[in-house]
Amino acid sequence: MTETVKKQPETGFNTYKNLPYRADLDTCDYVVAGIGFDSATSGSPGTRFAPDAIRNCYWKHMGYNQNLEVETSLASGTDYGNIEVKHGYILPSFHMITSAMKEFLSHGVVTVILGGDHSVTLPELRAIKEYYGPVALVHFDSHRDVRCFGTKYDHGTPFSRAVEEGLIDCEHSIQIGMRGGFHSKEYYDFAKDRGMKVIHAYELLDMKADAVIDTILKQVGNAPCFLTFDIDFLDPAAAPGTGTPVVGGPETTLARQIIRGIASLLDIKGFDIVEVAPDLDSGGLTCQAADGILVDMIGSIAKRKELGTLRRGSGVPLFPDTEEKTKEFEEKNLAEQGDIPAFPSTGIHTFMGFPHSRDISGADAVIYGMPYDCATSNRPGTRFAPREIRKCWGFSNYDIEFQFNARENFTGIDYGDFDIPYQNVHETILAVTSQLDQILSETDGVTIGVGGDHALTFAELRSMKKKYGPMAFIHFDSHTDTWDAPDGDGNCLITHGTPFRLAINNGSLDAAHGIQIGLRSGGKTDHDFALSHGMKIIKAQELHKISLESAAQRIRDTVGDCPVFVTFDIDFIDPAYAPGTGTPIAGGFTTAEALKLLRLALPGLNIKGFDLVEVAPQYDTGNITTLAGARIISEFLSIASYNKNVLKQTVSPQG
Amino acid sequence: MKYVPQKKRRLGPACTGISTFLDLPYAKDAKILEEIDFAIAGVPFDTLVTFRPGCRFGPDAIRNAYGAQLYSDAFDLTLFDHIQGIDYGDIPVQCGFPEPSAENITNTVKEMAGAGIIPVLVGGDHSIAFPELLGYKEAIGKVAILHFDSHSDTGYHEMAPDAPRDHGTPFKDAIENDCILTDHSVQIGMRGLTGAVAKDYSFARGSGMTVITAEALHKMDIYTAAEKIRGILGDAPVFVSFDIDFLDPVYAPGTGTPEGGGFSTWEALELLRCCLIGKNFIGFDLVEVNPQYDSGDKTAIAGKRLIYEFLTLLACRKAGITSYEDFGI
Repeated sequence: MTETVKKQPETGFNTYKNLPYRADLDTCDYVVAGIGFDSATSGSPGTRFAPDAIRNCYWKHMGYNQNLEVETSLASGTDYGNIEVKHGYILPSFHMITSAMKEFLSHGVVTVILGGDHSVTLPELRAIKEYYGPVALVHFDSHRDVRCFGTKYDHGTPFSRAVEEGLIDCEHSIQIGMRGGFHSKEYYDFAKDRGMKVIHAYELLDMKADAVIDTILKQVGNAPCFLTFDIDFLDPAAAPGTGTPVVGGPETTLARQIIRGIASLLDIKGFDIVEVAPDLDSGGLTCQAADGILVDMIGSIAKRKELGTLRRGSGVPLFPDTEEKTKEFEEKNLAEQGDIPAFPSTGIHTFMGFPHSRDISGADAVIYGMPYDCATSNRPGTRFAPREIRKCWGFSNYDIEFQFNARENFTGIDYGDFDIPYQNVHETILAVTSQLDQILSETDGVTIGVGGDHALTFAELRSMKKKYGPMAFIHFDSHTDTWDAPDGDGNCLITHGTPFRLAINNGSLDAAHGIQIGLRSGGKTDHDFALSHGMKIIKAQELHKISLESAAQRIRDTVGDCPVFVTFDIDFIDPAYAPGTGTPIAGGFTTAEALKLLRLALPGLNIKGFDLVEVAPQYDTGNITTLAGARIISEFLSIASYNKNVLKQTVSPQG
Repeated sequence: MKYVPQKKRRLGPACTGISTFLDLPYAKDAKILEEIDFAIAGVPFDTLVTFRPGCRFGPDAIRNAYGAQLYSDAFDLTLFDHIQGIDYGDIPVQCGFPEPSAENITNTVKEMAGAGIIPVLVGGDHSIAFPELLGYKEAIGKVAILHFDSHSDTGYHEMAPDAPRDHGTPFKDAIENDCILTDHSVQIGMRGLTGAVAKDYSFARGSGMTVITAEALHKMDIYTAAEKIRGILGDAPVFVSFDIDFLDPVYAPGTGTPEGGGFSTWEALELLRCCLIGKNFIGFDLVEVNPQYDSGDKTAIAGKRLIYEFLTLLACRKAGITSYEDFGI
């Protein structure tokens, strides 16, 4: 039985949950070890600090696990400290990791590894294969980590290499939560072609934990398996402290329910939890999420012991030449590798990597920045959003939901930022209007504005009206933005709370074909004003209770085939997922819900322009709001490309 | 109406002026208590936390937080057409001195509840709930609790008989001091501190209280839970104690002892509405908001929103609204 010490949690020598340091492995059921290695990351580094940060987490006891209904100390464990690695030297570090793992496995214990970036899973798997043969992989992540080009050994390739080296039993393996990074069809097919099952993030939104658990248990069966948990499986709101966060993911609740549902029923030989970067964290959120998952993982070892299903390893290697053979693969791969591609974070940043130009003739999409925030009523700072959003990568090549290449036959231009006279809001509105007039006179492609505060949408609508007539209107927001704010002469002031009252009053907005979604603030008079002009409203209170499908249908019914402008205020999303904004309102929606609603509502509509406003980066944490904004723009582009390339083809002239 | 949010300068940004709770007038005059329906007081005290301190700054963070929810979509009601209240300032507490601080808390609650108004206290750590309950006991007798939290706060490891109280013990202390109508009390959202002794919530359940764990709440859905809770509360006077860590750390990272696997702000709002509409609630506290670990003010904003929701329910009572259509009550 493991002795744990009862004392103030943050005092004393620090092992994971006060487990004994380097106890005799033959008396242990599991071993905890850290791998503070982050030289193979393509995003922000810092996972080298994760093992110690996770050890420092709140609450050092591991007593009764109420969810698994088991006394965790039934299983005895030890903390072995951190495995030695050499920063900057990927392959030598891998061999140091494999050696340490082999030492653990020779005593038959379950390994519980605190990463490190995801590259460390490869050397772990090498040792696991040596002792148990190829194992089924249960892989929680937002990325597939099966990249087939570029560098061969980094945190985006562990499973391409593991498959190549024969470490994985693909037929029984599963990847869950995939949504991230750049996609190609090759990536998309890699796992599928080899018999691995994949559950995408957008499928998770509709699945209850039980359905996910069933799918995993069915796929893995009785095969010996390895469970690897990349913390970026979680939405960045739940885990901002990671190097390559991807929005639109699930919360900790779902992750823990799944882990608890599967971990005590599978023959798990080893766990790891990777990609926690504490320096990017906020309030210890990410470390605590990781800690919670580990507690359930370790609890499941105790549960298996209680059930009598915990099978101790024999300590005798089944494939003693595994590590030896990896050297051949390494030599081959290093010879093949060729030129190493540029780091994604290098170079000049433009929106979605589009070329920057003022020559926009023939462009399918023109994106422009509007760095202006003087019309805000609370926290300023949205002037910095265009610049920050340019730094995010996001527009996928291969769209996994629509299953087409969104960048093929679709050209985009980063127009740069509009010239904004700061000193006077009236002049700003005139300036934005005239510059958008210029764009609209040169192209019939869609335009995408990046704010800036919401007052600017008034200017965009004025300009749109000149070309298309009064615009139908889809408005995602927590505020009505139809405030009644008259100046001394009774004229409505231009602020970020009044753009749509102004637009209705001056006829830019076709309110009868307009709809506002997500509202949860403001007075009755604002609503009454909009409603009296024929606007439809789906309040947050209602949207929480109806399905996204029926909301989408109402949006589509409202705008019909009128030329439409879509405006997305980032505070539609709950402050949990988008704190980086000037006027956040609690009680909103997750990023995953917002993305899904866009996907359901917008394809096929006659959309002329979009904008994304009110991202204020300086109140953000771990970039989560900026990333959500960038992802929404990327969705706009995907939908525009889908409208052009897929729908237009299927709707032939014959009808 | 005199004691309602003070209209701001029309042209100024939201952050201008003296910062009070919900922009209510600040007053310390006991005579005013007779003219109003509720008073909000801060309790900037965090000595009895077991992990990260800093919730002494909670009251000010909530005073400064953005967001005025003066109209309720759910009940189609403008709050301050029906109720009046004040910012009562901060209760004199001294970090490092639990006993004299507790005495001041007890006296303040006693004064407010004795005057027939609803005390709304903003913590501060959760240890303040015990002196609050002492105050209620002296003013109006034993009360039921509706306790939102990720922890049961009835002791979490083997407690020596003379163990000092802390923010993990207030309801144990209150039950032992006979302040709580346990048969009408509910704790909801529990998921943290799975120490061996607390495994069955044996103290809490043994006392007669109902404990609905987070796991159970996730599985039964909030409306079923609300139905059950309404039955247990009955007509008893209810003190509502809301520890912000009931919310998932995604929604409320700014707190001392966050626990994953929690609930969204909207779920909490909907639960408050469904459980409490038409019920005999007599007081409220919101504790454990710790701005030092917050991000973009989101925890303070969620906390402020919860206070508005509670006051909405009070306004409903004054306006004679006893049903919540969305819930079918």
